[in-house]
Amino acid sequence: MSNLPRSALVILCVLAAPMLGGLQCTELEPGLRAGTCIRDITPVSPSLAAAYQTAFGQPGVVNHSDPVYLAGFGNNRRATGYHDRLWARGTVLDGPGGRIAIVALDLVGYSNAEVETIRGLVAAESEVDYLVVHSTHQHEGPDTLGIWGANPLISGLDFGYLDFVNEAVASCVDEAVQNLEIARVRYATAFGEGLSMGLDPEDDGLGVADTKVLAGDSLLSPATAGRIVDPLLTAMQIRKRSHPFETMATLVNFASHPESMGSGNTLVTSDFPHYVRERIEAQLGGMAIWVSGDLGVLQGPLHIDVLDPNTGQAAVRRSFRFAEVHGTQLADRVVEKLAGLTPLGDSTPEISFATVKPVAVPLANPFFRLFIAVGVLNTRSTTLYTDGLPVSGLDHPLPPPGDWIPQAIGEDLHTEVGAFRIGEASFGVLPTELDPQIGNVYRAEMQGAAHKFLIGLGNDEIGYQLPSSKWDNSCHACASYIVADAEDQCPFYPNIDCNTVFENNVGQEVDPTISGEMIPLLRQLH
Amino acid sequence: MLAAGGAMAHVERGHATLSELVRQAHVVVRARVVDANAAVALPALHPPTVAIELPALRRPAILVEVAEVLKGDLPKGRLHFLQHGHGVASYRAAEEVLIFLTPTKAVRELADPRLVEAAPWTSLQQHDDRILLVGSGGAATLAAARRYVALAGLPPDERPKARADFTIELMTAADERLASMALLDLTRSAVNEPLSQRDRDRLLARIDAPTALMDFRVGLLSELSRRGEPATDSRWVMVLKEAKGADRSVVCRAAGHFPSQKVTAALVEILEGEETESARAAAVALGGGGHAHAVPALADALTASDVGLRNAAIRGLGRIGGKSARRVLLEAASAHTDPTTRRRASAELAARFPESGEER
Repeated sequence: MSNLPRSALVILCVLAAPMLGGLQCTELEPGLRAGTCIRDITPVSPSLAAAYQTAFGQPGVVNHSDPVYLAGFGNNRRATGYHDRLWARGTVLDGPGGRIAIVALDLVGYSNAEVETIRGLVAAESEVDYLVVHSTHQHEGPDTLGIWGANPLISGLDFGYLDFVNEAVASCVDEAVQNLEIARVRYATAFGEGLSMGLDPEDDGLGVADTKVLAGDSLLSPATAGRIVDPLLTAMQIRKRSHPFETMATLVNFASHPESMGSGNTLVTSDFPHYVRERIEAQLGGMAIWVSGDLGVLQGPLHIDVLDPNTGQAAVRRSFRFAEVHGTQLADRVVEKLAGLTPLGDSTPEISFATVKPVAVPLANPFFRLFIAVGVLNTRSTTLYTDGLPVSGLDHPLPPPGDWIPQAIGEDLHTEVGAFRIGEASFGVLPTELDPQIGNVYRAEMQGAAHKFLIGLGNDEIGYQLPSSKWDNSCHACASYIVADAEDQCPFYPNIDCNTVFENNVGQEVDPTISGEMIPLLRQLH
Repeated sequence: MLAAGGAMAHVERGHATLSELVRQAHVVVRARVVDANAAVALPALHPPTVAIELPALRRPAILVEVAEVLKGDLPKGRLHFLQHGHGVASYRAAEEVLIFLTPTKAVRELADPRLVEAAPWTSLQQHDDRILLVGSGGAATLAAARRYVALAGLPPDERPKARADFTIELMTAADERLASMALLDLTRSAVNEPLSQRDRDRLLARIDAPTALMDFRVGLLSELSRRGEPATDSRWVMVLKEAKGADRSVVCRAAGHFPSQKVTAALVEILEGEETESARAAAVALGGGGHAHAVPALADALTASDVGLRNAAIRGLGRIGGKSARRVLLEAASAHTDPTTRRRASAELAARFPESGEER
């Protein structure tokens, strides 16, 4: 691409077009332009290289050291082979208002520090205004966060693999920019009703189950005994602007953990999104991109049943057949909805975006401060900040009986939030596993948008984002006693709720802080 | 940045230990699995969502024959229990297992009266928490579970010391799984008093034993290091030298968190050695904080022929931070002969030293 600024190119094109005769000038034509890219980011270690070749018929280039620890469930789950490949799938959309790149990674999460490195690797000439690196949060791929190693004291993270992924994503974005061509975009919003069979009390028939009911949920959602899920299935289809209007990419957004294979699987796979993408690409052409939405708290397929058309029975849970049936049904719902659209799509959508970085989220969790202090977490550097400045060091601020327990000092961790619009659609980009209740709040702020996307685990992964009204502080308040093996001395005993959403949570201020930045952003754009 | 962000993902802190399971469970039983794919049938709550004839509403369950109740009050005989959560333990028929149960009515997600009536108990065990009672390891595990139950009955002021003693005892026992779980208990601070000389010697002997699993040795050494126990830096050096292949990378990553002159020197030696993977791991580990003296060695690594090592050295320099590391990165970003390395160094500067952008 030329080194001239984009605005100069468009003006040059408009002025020169009459003189160019039949010369192709699509790069310079006003309106939406889009490009796509894809990179294989399957982790290949020396011991798995042969398995890669066996599975995919081509030699794998080693990009990971041995072993490959699988992320998402327990420690020490080592990959033994492959079912399907992991991908970085991206699209760049360029139009009046800006150039936005979205890359979805088949990974459990990707830290903001790595995203910043990717941004530094993307060529300046690509002139990307806003890069979104999303993780699908799949649970059958490599540990990219460092907490699923052989045991909780040993990191499972391979930084060389992160370097590989960073290069892959950056080159993917550059390639998509180089391949920009005039395009249209159109959208569809479907509903998950009937995607699962409702045989299990936890399965509402919406294709996803909420496996973590919090205090207060039963008041909000009495009809489902407190289970709250996001049943919306939104899609963005990018098509070429000329006949026969081939599909370039279809981005699908749904709020469900890609973890249908469960903790017993040791084959690398992107889980059911693999089948979603295969089906969409077979039906619509182009490239399919899976983007996970507001999938917290623990929304997923582990406790649903799906009807296997081959047997007339529920597919066996935690099997690749389950993933295939579920993924195919999700895809068919999208394909059906898109097929019903009559407009060709918008060729001149206005693009706008806004971000806030850094967002300083107070770290309230004493367990995390302990883990940072003792080096259990594979921190990339000093991780905490006070008044915007990095802080490192330890102290012992807990009251007795935990006053001997080391704690990392520094008040906040830093992350980012963002939002963008492309024509009639609006997108929120959150660094969290977002509770669907909060997702509804954000969608309500997307006034005037006909289709509303929520990109969870966008540009970071800081864990759960719960409505603060549902926060139970007993676990954090009793940390000093719990760690000292004296929880029965804590004033809250026996009502201490240390279930995972509280124990593994930055703290009560996550939602007020993130929403405090996100809602004004959305209002600014709508 | 938030590298620690991973810890906020929706995962448990790791395996539940035997101690934790015994403490958390209302009922602990030894049982034999009768049917690992059983289900409890339930009356329908809401109409089916697909227009076909469906089987009755049901919930997967495990059917076991209870042989012994270690904790709590439960009759022997057959029992259906539910599993719930983010990944559950897998069972097979005929296995003898330990099961840790909580009342179904206490699990918010399952507090449906139909379920509570059909299956009053739910297992606390997640993903890899299955505890098989097989062979000598099974016998040792059963004995340990009984001991933990007994510990819970001690007066509160006697409990921590008794639990601490038992934790150390298990860590020096032959059974690797029990030892690993006890190590997690130690890390999660079931033991908060300074170690006695005798206990320290016993634990150091475990680190010195080349027959012990390297993961365990590294974990134990990490724990003793963070407790400030003496003579750990020389053991890091010993384990760094002793470890081979992938194990050595694991040791490098862990050792990086515990800088000392000896550890830094040992990591630099590996950085300058022949093993590519270990050298990469050492380069990143040297960025773990406290290894500022390693900047020249990392700068030298930027001339390595292996691009992975150059990238690792760049990452190590970025993590170290400070003026001298930044100076090396600026030099690499502007003058390195390899364009990929220039880009990577430039990206590291942008990510780690954003204030230096104008100077580049």
